[in-house]
Amino acid sequence: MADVVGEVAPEELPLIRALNSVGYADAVRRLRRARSRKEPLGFGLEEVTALVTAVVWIAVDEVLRESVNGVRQRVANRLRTLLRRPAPEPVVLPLTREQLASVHARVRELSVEAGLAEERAGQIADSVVARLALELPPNTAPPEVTEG
Amino acid sequence: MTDADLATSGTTLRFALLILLLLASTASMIGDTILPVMVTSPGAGFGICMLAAGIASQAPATAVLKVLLTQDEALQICYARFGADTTPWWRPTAAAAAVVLAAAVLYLVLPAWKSRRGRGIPVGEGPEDELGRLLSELAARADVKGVRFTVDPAVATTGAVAFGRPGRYVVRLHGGLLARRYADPAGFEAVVLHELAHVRSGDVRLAYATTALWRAFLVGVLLPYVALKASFLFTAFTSGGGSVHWQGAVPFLSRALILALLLTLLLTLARADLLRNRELYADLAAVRWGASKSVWSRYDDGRARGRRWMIGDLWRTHPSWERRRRSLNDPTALSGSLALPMLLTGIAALLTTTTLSPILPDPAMATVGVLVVAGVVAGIVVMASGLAAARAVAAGRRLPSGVRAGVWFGIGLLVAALVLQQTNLRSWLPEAPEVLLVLPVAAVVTCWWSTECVGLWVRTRTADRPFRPVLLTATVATWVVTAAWLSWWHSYGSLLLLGEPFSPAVFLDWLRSFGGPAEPGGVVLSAVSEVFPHLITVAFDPLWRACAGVLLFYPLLALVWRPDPLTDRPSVLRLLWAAVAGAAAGWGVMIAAMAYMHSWQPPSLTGAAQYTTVYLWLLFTALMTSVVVAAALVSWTARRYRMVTGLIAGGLASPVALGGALIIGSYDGCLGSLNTLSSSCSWNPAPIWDVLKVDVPLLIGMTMPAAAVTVLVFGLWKNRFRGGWWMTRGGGGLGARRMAVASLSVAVFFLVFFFGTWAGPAGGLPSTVRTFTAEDFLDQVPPFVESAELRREQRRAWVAGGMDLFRGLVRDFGSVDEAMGAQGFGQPERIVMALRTLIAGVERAGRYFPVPDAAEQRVWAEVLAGMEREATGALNALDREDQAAFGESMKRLKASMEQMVDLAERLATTAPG
Repeated sequence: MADVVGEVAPEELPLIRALNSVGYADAVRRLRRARSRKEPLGFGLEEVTALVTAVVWIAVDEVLRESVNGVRQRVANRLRTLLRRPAPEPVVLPLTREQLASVHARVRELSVEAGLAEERAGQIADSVVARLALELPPNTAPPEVTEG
Repeated sequence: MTDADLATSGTTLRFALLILLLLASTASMIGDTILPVMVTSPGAGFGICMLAAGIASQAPATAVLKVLLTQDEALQICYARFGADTTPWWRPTAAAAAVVLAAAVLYLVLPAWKSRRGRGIPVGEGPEDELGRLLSELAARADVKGVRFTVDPAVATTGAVAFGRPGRYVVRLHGGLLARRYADPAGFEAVVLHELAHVRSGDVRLAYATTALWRAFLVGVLLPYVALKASFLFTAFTSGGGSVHWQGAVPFLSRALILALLLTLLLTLARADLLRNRELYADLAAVRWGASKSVWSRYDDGRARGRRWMIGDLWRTHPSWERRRRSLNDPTALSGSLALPMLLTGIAALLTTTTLSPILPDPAMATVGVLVVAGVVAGIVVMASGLAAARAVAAGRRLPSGVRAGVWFGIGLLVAALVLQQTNLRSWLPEAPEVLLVLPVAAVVTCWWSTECVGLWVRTRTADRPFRPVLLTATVATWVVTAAWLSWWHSYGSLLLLGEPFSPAVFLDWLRSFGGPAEPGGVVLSAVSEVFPHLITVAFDPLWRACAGVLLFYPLLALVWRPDPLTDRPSVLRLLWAAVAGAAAGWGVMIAAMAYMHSWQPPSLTGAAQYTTVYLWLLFTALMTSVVVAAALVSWTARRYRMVTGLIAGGLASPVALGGALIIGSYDGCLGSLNTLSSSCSWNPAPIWDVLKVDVPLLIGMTMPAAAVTVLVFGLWKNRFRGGWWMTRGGGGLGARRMAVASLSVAVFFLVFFFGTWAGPAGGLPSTVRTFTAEDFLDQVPPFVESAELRREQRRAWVAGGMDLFRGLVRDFGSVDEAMGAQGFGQPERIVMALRTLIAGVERAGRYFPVPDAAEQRVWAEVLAGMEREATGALNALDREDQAAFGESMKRLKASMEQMVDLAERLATTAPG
């Protein structure tokens, strides 16, 4: 995650670091709910920035949930809640081409939703997919690519 | 302390007023509603005692006041007997302390709550961190130490927020702000500096202190209070027809609910307004520390448009962008509209003093409470409208009028007085609502005068010096003035809401008993009896006298301090001329009065106290005429500084007129048909001085109020003399001016300090003069005609309230009987003891309320007298060892006991005849 953000939006690196310290589950939950609160003694700005971090994080999370990994993850989650253990950092397992394509589409969609320019959205999506494709677990064969 | 700090100290004072208000409301609401319910049985004892004493919710306020004044001791004893003792003052204080403690805990816990679970992740820690270096550089620029920076990564807005508590302040950056750091470094810097400004100026402390206190108050006091009052109101409605009290209870119970609503509204609006104000100062500080102004011009929320927005804006904690930009570019725009702050200050001030005074143990402490609130209010007035005036004058602009601020301040006072009025529990308006107008008049005069004083004094300093000394002295001066009228209102003015609490008829009787020839027609005396009771309330109050001195001399000093030939300032010499013109009018009235007095001049003044009394009041009218004419002349012709110049002219006119009157009167006897006190011609100041010196304290008390009201009447209109600058143009040599002012000041101080006491009418009062007491006035209270139902309730309450006393008497009688044994004196020591206890019991019963029925009261008085007589008789017989007499006394004592029981039964069961 940090790699992608570091590449497309290096200024968001402190955010990634901060989010990493919260734990994955909390981070995703809070990113999804992100909204501005009106607080006394704030600056009074309600202007929302498009956070690349949020876009990438949410998109990847969604894809993970949809994959088989996701099912396993969910069971693990249930067990973890029962045992009251902190969430392990999710491991992004090698993805299929469809999965990569869907990540690309989703990142673009979320980016445009968040107010980023079409061009920039494409750039971020490319970068995410490129990084995911590189995600080769050590000592394994290259991902199996199914045709069609 | 810079001028910006001064302005923020103005809002700090407003925060302080809110905190005072919260504390006072806490103590008062707990004291009068919550504690009685929790600690004692709710009102049972109170209700019976009050009803037995003749206090009913339907009774007019004057009737209730009469009972409270005459039956206070009996009421307290009755309450104590029922265990429904009036709440001791330390209990509400302790309860208020508990609420404050809860607020303190909340204050400490709030920052931790705000940083819970990943909402504040530390950033920029470690010296090698580039972000950390930037942040500590900004903190150093703002001169803020020990602040931590955190980030809430999940918030996408480009803002930030400051919170925490002293020593542990936190500035939390929003994720969006951090993300935009490279894209928009200026924006990042501006936001961080703005937040640091909040930390630096103590806004964080104040905002969270009021939040914590408000929440503790809401949960611990306001909600229980509202629930209790609402349940009483509900009971009153549901028990409707059955109770004779419910109609009377509805207005004051409803008013309690309105008070709760008003408090909520006030606290919310005032806090939002204060925070908005602090935002402007934080913006200003951020720009001062190097933030780029362009950041503020990027945003627009279109809020500056339309009325609909204005209502919504009242609740917001941030001003509109348009407003923020305007105040950045033009610091005089900082003060903005004073309407809302002054309105809220008025409400808060009167709410605080009114709720504070009954819970403080003695009047001296209540006065201290008023002084504290007046000090805070004075600070607010000066830091708001005074500072605006100082800025305008320094910028060479027109002096803003303090009238508008005063009007809003006055409306606030009026609202609070209406909600709080305690004099007429039966209806929404007090018996004499017109008296309430005193409050806005005092408020307008104070603000108007204070603003003009600041305007005058700002001119006396050199251009580049700070405003601080001017504003601080103006605050002290305004404090004295505000304290005088606020304390007058609490000790006296609010009583006038009752209508005519001091009947003029009693004074008229008193004046007529003075002796000597009676005034033909008696017009003057009856007019005097109307105004006299009100005038004496200001004539001898030291605070009021100090106020008069400050109103006159504080601006006068500015006029002679350092003359500034370049600017228009009121000319002392011309004001003196106006004073002389006013005095001349007064002398005219004096001469007319002398002609009238001559028409019934007695041959000798000895014993003619009524004659000299009429004369001294006519002279007082003449002196007041001079004040009014001088003030009217000036306020009508002056273009600027109308309040100040009007007051100075009026204040100077009164000693001038007094001196002239003394000279005219010293020739009394040489004036033919104008002779009043003497018939032989010679220079003799003694008789006229004997008359005039009585007027002096009244004159000192009334000069400034009269002049101020005159200025309000004449000075509010647009000046018709287009070229009428002559009052406000520099003129006259400095030496002459100083001499004139110095000699007049000496004269006035001499008058104030040596003749400030009441001398009594000249000629001496005859021994036949009647004296009057509080009861004389209370006898004038119109009788309250109760319904038959209420009277039955009152009779029952009388029996119920006195039941302990009756039982005690019967028991004492029983123990005498027991000690007597079968025959003879049995155990004489025990008999003596028992009889003495019985007599003490009779005395205690004698202090109980009279029976609420004239015929039965006679019976009751007879019974008590009989008991005491017989018990004493029995004691004497015992002393003489006269068995027969002792037996007789005991027999009659028994009869009295039976009579008492009969009376109680009769009162409790039968309907009133």
